[in-house]
Amino acid sequence: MKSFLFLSIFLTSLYSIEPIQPLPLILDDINLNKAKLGRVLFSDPLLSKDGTVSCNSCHDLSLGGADSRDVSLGVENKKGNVQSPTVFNARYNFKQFWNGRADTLKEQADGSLHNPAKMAMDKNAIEKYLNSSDFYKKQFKKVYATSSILYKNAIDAIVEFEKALVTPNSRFDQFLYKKIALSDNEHKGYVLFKTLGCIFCHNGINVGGNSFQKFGLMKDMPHIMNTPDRYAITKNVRDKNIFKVPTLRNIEYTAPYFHDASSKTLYEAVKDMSHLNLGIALEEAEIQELLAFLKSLSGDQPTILKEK
Amino acid sequence: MRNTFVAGFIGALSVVLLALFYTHQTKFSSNYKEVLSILHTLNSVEQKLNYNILQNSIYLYTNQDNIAQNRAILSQSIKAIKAHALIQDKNYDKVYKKTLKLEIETEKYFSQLDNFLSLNASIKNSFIYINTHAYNALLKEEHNPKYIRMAQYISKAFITAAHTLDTDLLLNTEKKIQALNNYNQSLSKPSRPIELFLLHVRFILKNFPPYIETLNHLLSDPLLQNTTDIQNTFSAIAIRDMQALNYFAVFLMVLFVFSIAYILVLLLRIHKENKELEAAQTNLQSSLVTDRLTGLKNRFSFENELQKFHKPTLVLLNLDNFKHINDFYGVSAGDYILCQCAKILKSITLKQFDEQIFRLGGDDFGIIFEDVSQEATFQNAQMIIRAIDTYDFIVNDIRINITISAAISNEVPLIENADMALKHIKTLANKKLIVYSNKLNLRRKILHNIEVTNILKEAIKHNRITPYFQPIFHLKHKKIEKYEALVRIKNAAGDILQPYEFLPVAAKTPYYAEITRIMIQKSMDYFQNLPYRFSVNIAMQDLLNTELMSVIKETLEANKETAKRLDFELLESEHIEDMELVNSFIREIKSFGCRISIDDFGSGYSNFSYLSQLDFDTLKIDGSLIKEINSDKKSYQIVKIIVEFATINKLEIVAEFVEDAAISECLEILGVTYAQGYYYGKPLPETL
Repeated sequence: MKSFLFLSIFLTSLYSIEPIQPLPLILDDINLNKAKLGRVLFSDPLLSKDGTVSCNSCHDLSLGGADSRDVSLGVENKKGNVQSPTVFNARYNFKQFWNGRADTLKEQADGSLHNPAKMAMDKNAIEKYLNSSDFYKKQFKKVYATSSILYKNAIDAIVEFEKALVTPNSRFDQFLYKKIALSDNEHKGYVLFKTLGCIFCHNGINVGGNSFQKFGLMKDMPHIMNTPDRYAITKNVRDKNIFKVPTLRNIEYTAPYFHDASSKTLYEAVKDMSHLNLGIALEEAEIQELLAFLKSLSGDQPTILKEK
Repeated sequence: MRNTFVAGFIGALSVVLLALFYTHQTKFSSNYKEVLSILHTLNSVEQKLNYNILQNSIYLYTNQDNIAQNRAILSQSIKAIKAHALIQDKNYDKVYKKTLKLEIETEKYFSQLDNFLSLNASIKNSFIYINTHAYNALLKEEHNPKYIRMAQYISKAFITAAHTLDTDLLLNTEKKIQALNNYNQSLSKPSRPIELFLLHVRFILKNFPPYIETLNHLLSDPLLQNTTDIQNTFSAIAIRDMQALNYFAVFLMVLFVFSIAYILVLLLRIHKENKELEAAQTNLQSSLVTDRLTGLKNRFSFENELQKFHKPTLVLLNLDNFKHINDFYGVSAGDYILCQCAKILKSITLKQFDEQIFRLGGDDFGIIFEDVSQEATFQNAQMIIRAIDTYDFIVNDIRINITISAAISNEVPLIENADMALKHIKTLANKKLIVYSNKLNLRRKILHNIEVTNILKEAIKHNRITPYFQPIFHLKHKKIEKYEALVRIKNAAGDILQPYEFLPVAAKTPYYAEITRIMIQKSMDYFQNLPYRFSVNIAMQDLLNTELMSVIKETLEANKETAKRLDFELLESEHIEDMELVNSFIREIKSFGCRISIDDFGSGYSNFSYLSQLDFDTLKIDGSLIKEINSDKKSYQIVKIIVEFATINKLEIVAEFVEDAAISECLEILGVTYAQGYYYGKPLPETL
């Protein structure tokens, strides 16, 4: 058993040289009709209580799938309590929301639709609205073969669309696929990323999104009331200011940064993170190199957005 | 029948139950495998997580996605067990409860895992800082080498601790950390690298012990016990269920096999019963169509079999005088002879003409031949006759010889025609075989019989039986002293029928006795007041007819005076066995004063034997002798002897057929008492 374990470690170390995995170039698990229907629903503000907020309002598909505002505004301009994370590549996060309170995209969509500070709709209202629309009735009949639209099918379509929101072909992924070489700065940044310790949390296919970590690891941050951290769920003191490690893909387009939008630029974010979580002081050159690497994580627009 | 139904029902039921059982068992088996597979996944994913954790702790950095994936699989597996139909069954409640417990344990485990990942990342970060970055940063500044070495010492101790995962190795660093801190504080401007170095060192000091604790806890596989417990509990219940299913399957199989076996037994029994029934039926049928005595086909079957022949020829065989055999040797001897005859018939006819042999009646056998020439049949029949005639039948050591007669007919109706022909030759001497032909006129004879019988019937009914009277002349007294009453029938047209036209037929019918009675009655009435004796004819057989005799006696009783003048002329027709009975009647009649005469004497075959046995008064010599008396010497001599015999025995003699004076003179000379015939008078309705 032990020898097997060590053999496995040895083999794994051979094959997973890089702790970051590229995104697949082609998605083979998407039902295109569902996804296209989901795309319409995603941008429909009438799915919110006062007809002002759609999914797209906080996950702007033209802005890296995230919100440029510090906090998102829900129906009746209600302020949220957190900076909206990107919907792009969200399917690769091990949990959804900053504090990981949803295990799946479906739970996330369901939660956001019902959240009084977000879209504030209930199941019946959504079904009533969708069934009143000839367009939706026709579309749902085509995709789900039901004359009456069910809430669960609407969620299913949205989730299918979100699953298709993957941004492949970033320069870094191309490097991982050995299609291109990184630029000098990008490569130096990547090495720093690994040697400075960023990689300890930001690894895997989504360069993050697979574990929880404390915001302010090396420097305790004050705990603000109603912060949607792990503590909000577990009520365990240890979990204060603990959040899901966010993805770094397309990071250059998803400003402002952190759950509290405390960094307005990526430059600041890198600097703050090195100070708060790594306990190091970066030199200017190192920051530039890291920025070059981080920008190489920006991929193509999801193909589903180009589908007619 | 009811048993068959029950057995069939049980059989069908067991088949249905087996089918249901099979479905249930298949479903159970599939469910069982599903749960087992999930449990297996659960177990293996726990081990994978264990491996991932170990890997994560060893490597500086790794891709943590697999941990996220495996924990998702672990959660899903637990949910799948909870939601599984089999586990939802109340039999598996224990498993369900243990799974709930595992779910709670897993939540704790995941919390520990999150904590581990968080600590792991940060600890690694700090280790890598103090090991590399801090040192580089320190070297860039001007510091007392003593403190650089101190930092170096701390750093090495920490790295060793990191490699050995042993917190004890951090214990001796406290003082040096404190000294380094004091040194930094003593500087006019504290060094930022030293600050950061101390920050990480303190971070490690604080977080390394809980990290090790968490790691050890996770690696101790805290879910294993729960998972194993679930697996064992599930297996125990499932095995129990499977055993129950097995017992039920065995029970169903036994039920099924039993019902099949039972049905087989019943079928065999029915088969046997059918066979017995068939045998009984065959027996019954054959007894209907078979003669029990000889084993030949019987009269009933004859009609059926005859239909199957296209050109049938019948040989009808009759044993001669068989009644005599039966009477003489007994019925068993008769039966034996019939059986032997049947055997002979069977052995002689060799089926060369598709012939069939029948016993058609008491002593009648019949053989039907198919499409055979008259000659061949004739030869066959001759052969049979010869065979039976020459065969020695041995009954009780007595040799009996039997003769047989046969008639051949191929004209419809076969049996009637053959029978007529056979009856016909029985009347002929020395003829044993006859071929029926229309030319024999046998049918006309029968029609005649029927016609005459009808005439008789009508005549009796309408009182048309009439006596005619013929005078009997006393040759010495030269006067008519008697009359013989002779029967006539006046038919519907008023014609008078002579006795030869109806008596031969009447003799074979019951009407004969009636005619006798009427003749006696009417004659007595007629002669009641006339001064003559008179005679009526009576057959010797009539004397044996007790009914007739009692009627006659009544009549005599009623007319005693007239009865004294009555003569009975006995006609011999058949051989009489019981002569004593005949004599007893004669005595009775004579007691009324009646006299007895023997009619037609000289023409019968046993006349002289009667003479010694019967008590009679008069002999009537047969007319055939009298007619010839003057022309035939022998006739004359016979008559002369009869007269001498009568004279000696003091009997009166009457001669019939006296047709002329010459005969009359001759008779007178011979000493005959009376003469009767046309010379003296024809029979007439009235006396002369």
